Amino acid sequence: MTSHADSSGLRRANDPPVLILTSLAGGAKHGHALLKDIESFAGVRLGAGALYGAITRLEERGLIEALESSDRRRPYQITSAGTSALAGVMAEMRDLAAIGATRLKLSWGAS
Amino acid sequence: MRRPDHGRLLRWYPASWRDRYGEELLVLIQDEWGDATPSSRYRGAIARAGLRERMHATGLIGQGTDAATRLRSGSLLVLSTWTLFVVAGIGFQKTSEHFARAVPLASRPSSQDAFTTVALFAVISLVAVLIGVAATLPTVITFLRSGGWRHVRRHVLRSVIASAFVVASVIPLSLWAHQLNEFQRNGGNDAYSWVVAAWALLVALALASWTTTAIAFANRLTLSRVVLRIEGSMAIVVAASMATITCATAFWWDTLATHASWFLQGSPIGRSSTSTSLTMVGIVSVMSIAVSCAIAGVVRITGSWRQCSRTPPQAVAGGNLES
Repeated sequence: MTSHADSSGLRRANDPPVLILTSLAGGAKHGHALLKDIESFAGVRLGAGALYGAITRLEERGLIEALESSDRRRPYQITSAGTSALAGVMAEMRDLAAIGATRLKLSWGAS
Repeated sequence: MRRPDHGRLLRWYPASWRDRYGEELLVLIQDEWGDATPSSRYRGAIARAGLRERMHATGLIGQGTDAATRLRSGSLLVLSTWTLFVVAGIGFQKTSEHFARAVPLASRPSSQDAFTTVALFAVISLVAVLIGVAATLPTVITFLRSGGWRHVRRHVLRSVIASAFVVASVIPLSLWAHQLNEFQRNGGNDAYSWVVAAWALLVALALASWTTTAIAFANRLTLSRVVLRIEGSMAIVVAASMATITCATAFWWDTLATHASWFLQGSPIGRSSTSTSLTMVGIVSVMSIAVSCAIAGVVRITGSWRQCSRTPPQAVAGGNLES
């Protein structure tokens, strides 16, 4: 794992923080909308405890921020630091996928 | 049908976390379950997440808190496990009473050496704890003078009451013990054995209460870098002492099991008996668990040590552990 991933606290593709950042990269969402979105694009059903544990850590690290809301449902948006961290993880995943695909002789990994 | 109280699930989380995220999590639970009662699996997941947040908040896990908090939490973890260790140590002290008389002369030195090692390192660990307490005293006094008493009063009173019960119960117990012979005191009198076990439980509760009080204080103090380092050093000494005591206790047990197994079973001298002692299994198991947790605390301390010397210590929001 590179230092970039270590400093952002992001580890694997199915890690709740990565899934949350990926979801928020598409626009601000509150807790329930995040769960639904993550389930739709990743097929992962996060628990409420895991979701808010990850939100807490991400907000501590300044990777996401809460938006003002008159509703009890507080939406979150990705910050520029979060965007940068997510881009770093995506680049790592792309590189890893390319190496794996090359070794498996899959045509899509060559590019 | 009565509506489920989802808010009760939030009790697993620390108060500071509930203030920030509690309402949102509650809404999410309501969105997911409506008027239905969440499944036990779901409640278990929330409880685990809440306890994890408590450990995060106290610096026991994660890197989110500052180095000073992590160092302090490592020291407090060692202190907490030392309390558990003391309970096992009391059990060992009771079990090993008058063991020298039961051991054949030839094998007496090795068992006596093991016992002496236990006693010596018990004293060393106690001195280390007292040094740690003494190092924080000036900060504690300043804290109390600046109105901190109202925050810790409940903890202190509870600990004092528990200790008073322990001290008060010693007198009738001692009087009763003097009326019994050695065989009756060492398991021959069921009623006495049960009362001693209840007293030991009371001692354990008093120790646990004082540990909670110490944590309540520590969470509200802003300790200087020097004091934090003293705390960390003493915690390492305590953890090393605990590990040594556990090894010496296991050696003592092995020696007794080999040369005087009748003593471990409470049988008459010379009567062959099984070397397995449930009491010793329990004592060494508790000691081993406590040492494992203490090592985790030491890892926390050493991991934060260098960073703590570079950054100024910060105060920690109070009420993390006990809220």
